[in-house]
Amino acid sequence: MPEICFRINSPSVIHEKFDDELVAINLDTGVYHSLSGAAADAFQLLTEEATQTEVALALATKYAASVEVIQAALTPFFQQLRKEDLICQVDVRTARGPLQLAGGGSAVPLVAPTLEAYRDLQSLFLLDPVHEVGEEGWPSTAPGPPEA
Amino acid sequence: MKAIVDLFEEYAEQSLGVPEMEEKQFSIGGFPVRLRFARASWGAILTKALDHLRTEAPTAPTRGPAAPGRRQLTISILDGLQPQRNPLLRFYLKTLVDQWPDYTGPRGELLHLHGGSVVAFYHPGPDILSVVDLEADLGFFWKRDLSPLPYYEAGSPMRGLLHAWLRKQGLQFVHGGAVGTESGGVLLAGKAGSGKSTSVLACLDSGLKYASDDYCMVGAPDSMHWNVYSLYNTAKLVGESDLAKFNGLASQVWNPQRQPDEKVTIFLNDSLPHKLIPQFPLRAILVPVITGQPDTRIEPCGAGAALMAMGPSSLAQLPVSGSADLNSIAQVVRGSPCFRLKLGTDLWQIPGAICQLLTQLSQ
Repeated sequence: MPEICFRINSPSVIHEKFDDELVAINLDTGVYHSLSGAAADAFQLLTEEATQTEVALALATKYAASVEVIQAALTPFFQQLRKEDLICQVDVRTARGPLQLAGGGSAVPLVAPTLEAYRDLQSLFLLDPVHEVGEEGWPSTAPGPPEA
Repeated sequence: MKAIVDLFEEYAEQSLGVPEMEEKQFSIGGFPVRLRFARASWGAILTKALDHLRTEAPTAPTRGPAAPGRRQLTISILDGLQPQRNPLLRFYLKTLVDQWPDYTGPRGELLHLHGGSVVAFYHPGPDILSVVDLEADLGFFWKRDLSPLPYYEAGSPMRGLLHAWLRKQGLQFVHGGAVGTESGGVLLAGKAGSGKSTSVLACLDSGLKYASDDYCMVGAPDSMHWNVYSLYNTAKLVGESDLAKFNGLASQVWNPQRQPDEKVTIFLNDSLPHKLIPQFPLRAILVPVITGQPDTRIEPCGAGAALMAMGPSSLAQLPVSGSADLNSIAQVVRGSPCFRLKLGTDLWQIPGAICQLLTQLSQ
């Protein structure tokens, strides 16, 4: 059975990368995230659709760790990405060349990729569920004058 | 979906084609924006936050470009007590109000109406439908009834509608305070409670002028330098304790009788019009951090921290914001020096620290 391929869950998920840091926002949940180091790189690689193994192989060109070590570190990270709906499964893959990662060959020490989630703006992102329309529906109210 | 625009345009002509119809014109980010309304009370409450940007009575035609190459937006303000003669529109509005969860996206977007140049969104609670046609430069702001607008809508009126249209004109909405002078100023980026409003209001007694305490716009008219543009003259404070820090503003509170979850709202144009500034060149982005220490300090910070402070909170209350907005905000951050504004308890040090930074950056 082929390995599952993933992609960023766009357009619901948007992101921007600055050097070593990446900010991602899930517009459907109102949760936003900060990723750095290998996490930011892995996320960026998923914009091109990739399996976990392909991401690990690409990261191994930049980080001073074996593919196996990186694979093991990616497993919980991918679980987090899926749990937060930041990535989704690709059913039909698009043809592309090998994944390229900027900074390859630099042997950067690997810090296990993690995902920070911020939920403090959810109530602002998402609709206020408080909505009062009587059983009779609208229009049926007897409004007073507006207040200036 | 152009049909909704056609229906609303017909509805607006029927409802606003009356002798009591009024128009007010504003220059928002340099673009003419005209509001049309037949009910004076809407005109008063929806324009209070924009009054500092008001311009002379309109002379240009009702719709279309104000001048060659310069677009103008015309927004018709309507409410559910103005009868919709068209049965299709009447049925649509009734269905939307009664069954909005079936028609709105998670942020209130009405995707079934989107298409081509039209975007629309619905805000349940106050029951406000906003529709904008980005090609025809027409906006419609419809409220179900005459119940009072929530304080946040009075303080930042038509935010989503203006955002959708002004973005098309190259102006990016950002959630941030902004103070400066004609020669340059700073943007204070951060979510609610980060100290933006307090910092901005602390600057009112200094040589710095106020452009914003929550939403403003950033644009690059010459594609080289960023300018900050004022949008609303509203100051919002969390409660009495914050207000107590600014004795001079206590008598200016717009909502002295407010609900527990309402912020103290003050329209600065009423009492301090000389302290407002419509635009200035952006010199730096500051990320406020409340330290609890007495002194205020400014330290460099990374662009990523500035984007975290400004990006999500800017997009949070704009229903049709998305990837293009985040990318645009990221460009502003990339092109600006970023600093942490470590706020001390002695508020009066804040303007001095900002002025000192502006002086350093200009050298």
